[in-house]
Amino acid sequence: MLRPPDGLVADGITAIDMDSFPPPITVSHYLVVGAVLFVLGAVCMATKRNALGVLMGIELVLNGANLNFVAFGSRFLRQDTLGLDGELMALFVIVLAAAEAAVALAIALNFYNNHTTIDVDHADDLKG
Amino acid sequence: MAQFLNVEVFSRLAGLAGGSVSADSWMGYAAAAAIHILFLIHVVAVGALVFIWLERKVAGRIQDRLGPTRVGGKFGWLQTLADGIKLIAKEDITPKDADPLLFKLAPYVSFAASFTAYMALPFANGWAAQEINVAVFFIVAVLGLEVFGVILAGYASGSKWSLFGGMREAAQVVSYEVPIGLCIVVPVLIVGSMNLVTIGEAQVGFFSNWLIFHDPFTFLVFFVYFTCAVASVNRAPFDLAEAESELVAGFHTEYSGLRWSFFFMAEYGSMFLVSGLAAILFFGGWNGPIPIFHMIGWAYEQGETGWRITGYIAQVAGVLNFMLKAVLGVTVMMWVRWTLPRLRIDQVMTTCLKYCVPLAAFCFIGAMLWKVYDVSSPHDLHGYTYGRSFAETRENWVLASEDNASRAVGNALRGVPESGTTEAQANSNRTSPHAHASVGRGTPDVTAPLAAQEVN
Amino acid sequence: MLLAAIDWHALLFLLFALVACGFGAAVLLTSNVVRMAFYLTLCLGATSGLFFLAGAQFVGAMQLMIYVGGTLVLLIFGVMLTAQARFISMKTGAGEWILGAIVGSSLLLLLVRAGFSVESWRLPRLDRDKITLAEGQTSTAIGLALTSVRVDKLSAPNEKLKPGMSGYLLPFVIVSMHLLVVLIGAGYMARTKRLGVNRATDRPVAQAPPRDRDRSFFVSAGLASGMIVNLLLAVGCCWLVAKPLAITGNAAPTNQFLLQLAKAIDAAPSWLLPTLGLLFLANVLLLVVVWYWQKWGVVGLVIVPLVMAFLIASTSLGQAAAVTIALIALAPVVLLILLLCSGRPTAWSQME
Repeated sequence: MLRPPDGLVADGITAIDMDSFPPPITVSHYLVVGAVLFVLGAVCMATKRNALGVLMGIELVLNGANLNFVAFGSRFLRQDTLGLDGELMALFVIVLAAAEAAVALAIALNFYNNHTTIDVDHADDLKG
Repeated sequence: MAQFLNVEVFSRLAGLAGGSVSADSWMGYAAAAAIHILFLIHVVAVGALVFIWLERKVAGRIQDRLGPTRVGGKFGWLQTLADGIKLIAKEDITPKDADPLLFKLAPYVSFAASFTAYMALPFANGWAAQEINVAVFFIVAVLGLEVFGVILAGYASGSKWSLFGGMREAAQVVSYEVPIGLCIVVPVLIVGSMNLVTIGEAQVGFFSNWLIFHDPFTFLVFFVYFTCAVASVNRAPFDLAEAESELVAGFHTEYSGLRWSFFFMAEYGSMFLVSGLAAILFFGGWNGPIPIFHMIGWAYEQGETGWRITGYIAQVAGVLNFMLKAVLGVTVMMWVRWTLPRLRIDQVMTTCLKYCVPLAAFCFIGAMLWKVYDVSSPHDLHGYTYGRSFAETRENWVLASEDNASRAVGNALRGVPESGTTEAQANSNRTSPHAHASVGRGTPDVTAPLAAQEVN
Repeated sequence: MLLAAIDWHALLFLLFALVACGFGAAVLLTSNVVRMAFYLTLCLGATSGLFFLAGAQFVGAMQLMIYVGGTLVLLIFGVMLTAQARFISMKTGAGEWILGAIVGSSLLLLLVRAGFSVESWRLPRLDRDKITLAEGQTSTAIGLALTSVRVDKLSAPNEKLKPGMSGYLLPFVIVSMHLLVVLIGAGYMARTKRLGVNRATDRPVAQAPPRDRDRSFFVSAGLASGMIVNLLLAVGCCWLVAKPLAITGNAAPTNQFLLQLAKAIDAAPSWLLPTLGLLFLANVLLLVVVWYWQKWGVVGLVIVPLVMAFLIASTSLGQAAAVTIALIALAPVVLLILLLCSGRPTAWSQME
């Protein structure tokens, strides 16, 4: 179990365990949600056979990362934050995700036009 | 209002029971919030009833008919209620080929999106369910979600007509979000804030202060906005998603009964919303053409937080003003619907990409140059501003930048003095107004002042 | 009291977090693509709720607008366009599920441990009672940061953060260009290629047969002289950049003019001359375009002087200089347009 530094005990904050969720929401809580979304997205990318399902997995992963950026930048959760940089990073991620979705969708459509399926397992034309 | 309720109602009631209630008790806030939520729901629910009746009357008159005349005595004003009872009594059918879950959820998605946007819409100075700093942006974003319900309905119905309707809607709404965003940026650029309350208050005074009269570009951009708004809420002549001459009834072909009426309520809800947004962005919002209540000193002063009956009356008058403008906008939409023939889908896209986007971009650049070169406008010439001038709103960050910059920027933009902001944080954004949360365990003394500003 | 005893922040966080994670899991477990998209919508919506809770209002609204309103609509559009059977479901094998679960759970364990590993992340802000809503209103600061003004860093308590006052102008421009490229590229890639279907047989050829076009001597001469003059001006600009004017000698009338020119060039910012040179080159190209019968060349020729005037007006040279330059540069264009519209048949009517 992890112990907080001494100064904080004096401030009324006692032991913080990894498995207990004390009511004041902290950055760690956000990180856990972000981690769950990230893992779900990663597994989604790995297991889905539909190209669009893979795309949705990517969106989930990006959102997990975004949540971390925002949590680190939030002034409500922590004293010494990233400041605006966190939010700006999240904005750039959102914009780039939109661009990525457009391109990926175009690729998927092209693939569908050529193969009449969007099962990614059939994308093996280059296999020797 | 919460404090008024506490002092005038709850403390007297408690006095009967032998107790006492402080002015900042949660009961007043809960009651005030409940009353406001009730009002807000009625804007959509009763609004839809009235608008459907109005639409039938307008359509009748335009086509040289009378419209409904019998139900409810004069003018057939209870016609919609009769229709509603009929709709509730109808059998609720789910087609065999439909995806049952999505088919049942789709109307609620549509309605929820339309109704959520009301959360950020102010009806008078500070009278918003939740005053969000980026309210304009939020409303446009949430309104864009309404299309989801339509697409899902189109897809889940398992019918080709519905699918075509849904696909048309998707293409149309995604395209029209671009010009509508460009149009909305123009008033935001002039006022220097995305907060709708700030934008509305910036136009206080005579009607020459309204942003539509600010310069020729805003005048032009309003018409572009209105065109795009009609398109984005799927009204004729842009109602391709439900073109009955081609697609039976489009995305709601397979719907009947109450579910179908939810789509209708969503449509009228978003019509009122975009009209209300137009009223705030271009027509002074809750400010009448002549600031009578400012002249006789009834209206709340800038930054005033207390409650008084005269101020309340002025606010209610502001609400009526706002409603009148928004209803006028809806009526114009109906007028357009029964006057113009429906466009073809390629004409709809052409209107968006070849006309609306370039026009909006041109107006945006024009308005920008107008501000940069500080060309005079009726607003500046008049010199009769009760609110703060635009420059003060916009440039406060420059004045405050040297010392405690970021905090001052936030406060100055909200137009609240430094000491007055003891609100907690944005966590009650997505909930009803009574769900104020402080960051810590919500002690009453933290929640109270924050609610005072919102529920007021 | 009951209402006051509830920690709304924690409650709402829990609600949004559960919705986000639950529907995220639903995305993973469903095999119907449309339902996946719907669950993803709810998941991303709840995530934007978390953004609002963390005080990032602008990012939250942006998430709703772009992700939920834009990207996902696009995604559903893609689903509709690629639907083979009515409701696609491609099953995943059991072995893949097991492998995915093992890898995923170990990754999750790692990430959660990492999330709790730093002590300052686990501690809330100490002065939580003093937090104001205004602190979450960062949209103006974000806008200014995108134009490379960091108002938030001016009062940074941390001295190390202060030097990092650089804004995000360059990333913003790069992202804008990137979006433009993506837009064009995606449109190009997704265009329908109708293989084996000859569109020409469907409808008559709309192309008009090539005509014999002639141009009066004056128009040709005007175009040619315009090209030469603009080329010379461009070269002159480049020459001035390379070798600044060094004026010596007495105040003869010609020198007087050069002296003033040198002063003006000194006063102008360093980017002005190269830009003007490029604009003159653009003029040459536009004249070539007009030579080859394209109407848009004329439009460009009108726009270029206006751009020049705007650029000069934004420097310290003053608006009078800008207006003068605009008039001087516009005069030949007007002359050219007059020439194009004269004669019979007019050159303008023959252009495309």
